[in-house]
Amino acid sequence: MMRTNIQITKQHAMGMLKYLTGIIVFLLISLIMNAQNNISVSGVVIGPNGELVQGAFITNKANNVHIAVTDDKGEFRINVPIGTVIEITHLQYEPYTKKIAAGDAVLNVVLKESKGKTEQDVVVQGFRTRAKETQTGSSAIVKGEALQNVPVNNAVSLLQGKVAGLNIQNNMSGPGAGPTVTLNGSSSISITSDGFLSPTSPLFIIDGVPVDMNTKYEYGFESGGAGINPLSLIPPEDIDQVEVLRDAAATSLYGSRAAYGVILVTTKRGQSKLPIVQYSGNIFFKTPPRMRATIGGADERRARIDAIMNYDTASNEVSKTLINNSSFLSDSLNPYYNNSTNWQDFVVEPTLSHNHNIQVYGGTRNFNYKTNVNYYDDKNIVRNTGFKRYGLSMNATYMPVDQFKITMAINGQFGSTQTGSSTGATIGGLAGLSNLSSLLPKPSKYSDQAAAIANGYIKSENTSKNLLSSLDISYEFLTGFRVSNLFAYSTASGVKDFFTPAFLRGGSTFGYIYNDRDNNLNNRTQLGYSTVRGPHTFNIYGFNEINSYSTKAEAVQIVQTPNDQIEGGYGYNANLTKGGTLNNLKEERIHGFGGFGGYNYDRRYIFDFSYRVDRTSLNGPNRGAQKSPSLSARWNLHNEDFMRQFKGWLTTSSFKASWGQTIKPNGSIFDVFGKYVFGQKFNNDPTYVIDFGTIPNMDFLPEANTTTSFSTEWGFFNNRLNAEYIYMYTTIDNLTLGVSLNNTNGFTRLTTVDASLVKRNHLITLTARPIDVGRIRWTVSANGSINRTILAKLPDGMREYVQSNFSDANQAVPVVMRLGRNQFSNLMYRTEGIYANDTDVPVNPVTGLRKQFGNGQGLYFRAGDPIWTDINGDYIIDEKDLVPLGNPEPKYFGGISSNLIFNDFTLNVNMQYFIGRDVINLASAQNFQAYTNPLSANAMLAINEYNYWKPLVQGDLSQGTAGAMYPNPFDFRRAGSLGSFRSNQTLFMENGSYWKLGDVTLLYNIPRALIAKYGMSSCRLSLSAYNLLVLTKYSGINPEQVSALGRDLSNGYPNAKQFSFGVNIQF
Amino acid sequence: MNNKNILYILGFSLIISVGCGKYYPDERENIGGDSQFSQLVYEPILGRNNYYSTFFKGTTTYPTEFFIRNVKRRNGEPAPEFESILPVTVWKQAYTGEETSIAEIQAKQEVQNRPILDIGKYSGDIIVWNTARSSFIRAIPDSGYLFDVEISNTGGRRFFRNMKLMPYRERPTEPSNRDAISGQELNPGVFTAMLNNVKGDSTNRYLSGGDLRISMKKVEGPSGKITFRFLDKNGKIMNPNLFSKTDWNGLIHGFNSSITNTGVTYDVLYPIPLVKIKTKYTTQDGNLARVVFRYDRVGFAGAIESASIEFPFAIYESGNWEILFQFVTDNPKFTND
Repeated sequence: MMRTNIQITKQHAMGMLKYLTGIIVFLLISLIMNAQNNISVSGVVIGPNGELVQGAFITNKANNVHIAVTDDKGEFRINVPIGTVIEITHLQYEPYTKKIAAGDAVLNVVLKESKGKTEQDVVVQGFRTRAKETQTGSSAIVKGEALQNVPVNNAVSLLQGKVAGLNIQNNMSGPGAGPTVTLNGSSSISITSDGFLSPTSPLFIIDGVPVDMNTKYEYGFESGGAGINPLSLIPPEDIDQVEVLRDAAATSLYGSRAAYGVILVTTKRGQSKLPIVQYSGNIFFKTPPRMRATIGGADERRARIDAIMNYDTASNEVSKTLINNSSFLSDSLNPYYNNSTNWQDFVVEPTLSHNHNIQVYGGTRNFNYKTNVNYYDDKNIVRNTGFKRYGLSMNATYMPVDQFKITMAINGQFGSTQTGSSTGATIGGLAGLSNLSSLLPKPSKYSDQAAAIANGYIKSENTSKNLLSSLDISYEFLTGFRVSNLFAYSTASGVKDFFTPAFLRGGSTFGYIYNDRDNNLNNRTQLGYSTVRGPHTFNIYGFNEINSYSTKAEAVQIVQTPNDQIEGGYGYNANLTKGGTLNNLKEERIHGFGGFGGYNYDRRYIFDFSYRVDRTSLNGPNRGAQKSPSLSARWNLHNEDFMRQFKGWLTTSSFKASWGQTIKPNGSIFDVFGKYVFGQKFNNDPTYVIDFGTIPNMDFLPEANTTTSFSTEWGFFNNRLNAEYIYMYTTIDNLTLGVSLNNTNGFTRLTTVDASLVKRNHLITLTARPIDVGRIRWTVSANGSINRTILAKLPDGMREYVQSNFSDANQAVPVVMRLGRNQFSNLMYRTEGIYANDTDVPVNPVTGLRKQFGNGQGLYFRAGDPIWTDINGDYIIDEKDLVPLGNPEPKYFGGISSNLIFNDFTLNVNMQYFIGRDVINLASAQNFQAYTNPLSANAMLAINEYNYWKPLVQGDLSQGTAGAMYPNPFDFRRAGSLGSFRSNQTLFMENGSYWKLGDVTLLYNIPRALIAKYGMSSCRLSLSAYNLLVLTKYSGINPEQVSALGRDLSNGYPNAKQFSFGVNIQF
Repeated sequence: MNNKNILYILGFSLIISVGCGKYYPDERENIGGDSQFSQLVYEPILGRNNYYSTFFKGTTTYPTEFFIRNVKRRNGEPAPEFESILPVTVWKQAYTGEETSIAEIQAKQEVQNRPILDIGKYSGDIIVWNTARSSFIRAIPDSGYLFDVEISNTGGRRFFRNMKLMPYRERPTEPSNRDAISGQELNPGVFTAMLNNVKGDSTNRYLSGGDLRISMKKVEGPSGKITFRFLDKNGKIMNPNLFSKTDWNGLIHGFNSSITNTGVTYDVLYPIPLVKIKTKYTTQDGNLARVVFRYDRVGFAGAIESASIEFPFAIYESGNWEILFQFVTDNPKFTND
């Protein structure tokens, strides 16, 4: 072939289409070009860190014509006349200009990094890496460095406030637990029996291996795995970047399970010709948060006796008898009751922990490798609890020839937690312990307060082993045609070994052994073709994906073994001992296939289309496969010719729009096909009959998430100021909701898939570099989102659905779902204040009766009682007066980050805010409830700072303080049945907004001159503080530490303040 | 800008306008299909305040407004008598039973004008006021009236049709000696007092309820008074002071008591009891007032016998009422053995 025309890319060298293009390009180019003194120039474009730059334009400066684009190995080849001035441009880098001289046959170019931010990153969309400038979906990137300065047990915790729309609540601080993650608000309407919201975390993909965080929440662990969150097993030091894919255009190809968004975690890769060895380690000190102030010793006894003597509605004699009959109050000289024990001290303590990480990496383009060894030991603040992680991860890329590439990664992690006597998500028995009366003696083997020492004697070991492996092979068998296969397999196994010795359980031992196994196999094969024709870039490919997931858990409970040393095997009480497979057994399969087409005109107009078909083993047989299409487009305004005049101040500007659908299989196979159980014997043969609990639903479908989004990005003054705005309108359909069937039906319940949610989100991100003068660089970025979730549909045309069949700490506040409202509201009484006097209580004009609680119970309101709004005006407070109130999801949230570099010092400050959410302070309700029960040995917390009702004159209960905030806590006769301190009233629903100074880090790079003689290439010291400060009006301990339903359970694992010192050395 | 750009801008604005649209329902209240009045036939007794809390909420949500519509006679004729709005006495503050004067009680009441068949605007409680009288309302045995209840809120409106109102004639006292349907007196009195340790003077047996006839009569005179009189078996007036241990001030929630040889009179407010709550003047449930007359005598072998006559009752009409206790078989024995 004669090379008369300019070859644009290497891909054009072959293929029929190439000839056509060649002719066109030849005609175009030959018009403007002289064919003399041409030189063929070829070379590689690399970035400052040695990375290959793909997609850089080589432009002829004279006429502004793009003459070549670098391929995915950074290579280009041009044929130009000598003396041509070429410019190599890429948004991520500073432009490079060169006049081609006669000796420039080989031109290797190192580009300098651009100072801009917005458009420079490389993002993943549709399984492919592409420049952010050409991306049509919406995603955000957080670099690994942002997650590495603060040692935490779960790196995701540190993403809080860094990505607009990503709501991270560190409400589970237990050992090995992970935060609650939702993208643009929760997408769930189902509540587990213990009052937790079903998690709707985005799908995590760690180096190509999908890890679904939404499974294994059963059995009170409240985090995936046997109490260990799978993400807690990923060492933060190994993370290169985290990318959050937000809209359907970005996630649609992930199809199944991507309905709540996708978070791609990429671990580090070797990039240096010289091997690099890097050590990083931290020592960190955790201190317990402010504990609740309690009343101790004699004060406590006096408070109890005062309540009985002064606030009893019965006669004085009755009150005295009450006290005398309760030895706990009257027998004050009995050493068993004459104490002042600080129970909270037996629960928490400050601790010192450490972690270490060694990383070795290096390699060239043809072969690179990385090995990471990690050890993390976190002694958390609750005694006898902690989390350890040992991990080894490796990856390697081999590229023997340019056409063939193979990448292997393996990531093995071993985690172990000690949870003492609790589960992990909550501190269970220990919370009960801190609720004990201070009058009781300190714990010992011979006192009743076994829970205190139980924590020390109970054996509770949880281990979790996780192995993620992936193999990525790609082969370009013809120019432009690439076939690739990504195989990912992960297996996780969790074990819980729990044993309570006999003396803690009234003479009978108790053992519980649990183990589970998860296997997840994912294989994706794709065949793609891409080509560049002048300004036109085409991309097309098809793929086929299979996914198989299985989980199985077994548990054995052994009671009354012969002694504390024999924990099982033989000699146990067979009646109380049981075991078997737990009913969260699952085996699910998904088969998906589809295609993607993309077109890009001169990086100005970009269109993408994708279509995916999924069949899941959870689809109802009547419904067939589910289709997930997506369409998206982008317009890069800044690449338009007419925008060049604004180049001085407007660096980048673009618009994006997308529409698409993704699905998430929910529910279980039993919802679709019903369940068969053992029946009675027939003719002495066993029978299997259908379980009449749930009727099979042949129309069962996975959840479908349809997102329409619009976004725009603007960069000003050479990207010193960047702004991005995204509007997303999301519908989530086919949400499961169990409805009761008419009792004329043989079955009792049907799991419907007819509920829908709508989410509207506005996401805003601003980044600015106000100072950028050599030695001082200051970058500030802020993001925020405005969120609204609306319940759009319920099954059977219902407008309201009340869920009360769950309990949270036995203080159930029913949840109501009402069309047009946020998906969860609390069904509660509206508290307007406290009756100061008896005469303030309204009277039914017809009957003359005072307003009462319940009908005919004689519970007439009086001074010191809460004023509950009588919605229906019948002077009776009952279930008719319950109203849906509150929204546990924040309306506005986001974060502000500041990064200040001054010489060798770097100061990072990260703040987060969550505004406009309602939290039910169950803990505070519980504090007051303790007062209404002066005879039971519960802790009495100090309530002096609360403005509660007091009588004006001692002994006259008909008149009291006006404008009190809380009802009379000493009304122990009536408060129980009246429920003055019930949690389902607005009195305890508080504004749970907060600002949080999440972390502050000071880094110091020791100048190279000082460390060079030790052979170090860099040495960095760091000081960091985490969980430093929470600014809130909330009266409880921590507004972050509440369940996803916005309930502040007092038995949560306390969030610790943490201070750490770290060293990072590189050789 | 070329045409293509304009096309793109149009395309984007289309997507924006579609995306910014609102495709979800507004929040509104609900009128439940399963909501119901649990009572469809109302049989109030005229002359009293009758109060019915019969609306079963179901899935209806509040606030919801209730209206009575279309009251008509059973044969479909209009019923203009229900258009009358009459003054009724209502409570504005809670009655406690501890008020020390009529004025203090009256200060807690006020007069309002209400339709005789009323409904709680937000509660759906049906009220037939004591201003409804058989003089203009058709009482049983007439087949009565039909009425509809309209409930409405932001979620819509629903009618509960043809609820029946079949009032009984006035029975101004309880216990009553009148026939429920005709309103005529069947007996001269009732025998519902509880006698405890009351020994017959001549028979020397313990007397029981059947030995004491009580008749409650409205007599001439100024309204707002109640008098208790005792008659012996011969119809002779007994001196109330014979019941010497009686707590005359705590007998009934009345004031300005005057004990004469013929009876004891109080200034009171009607109805008695004023409110259905338990006070020291009422029965346990507060439904009826309770008067107790007591005396002691030395019985056989020198034991003191504390005798009491207890009578629970209610009076719904104001007037000058006289309650006559007549021993019909034997007189009580006041002398010591």
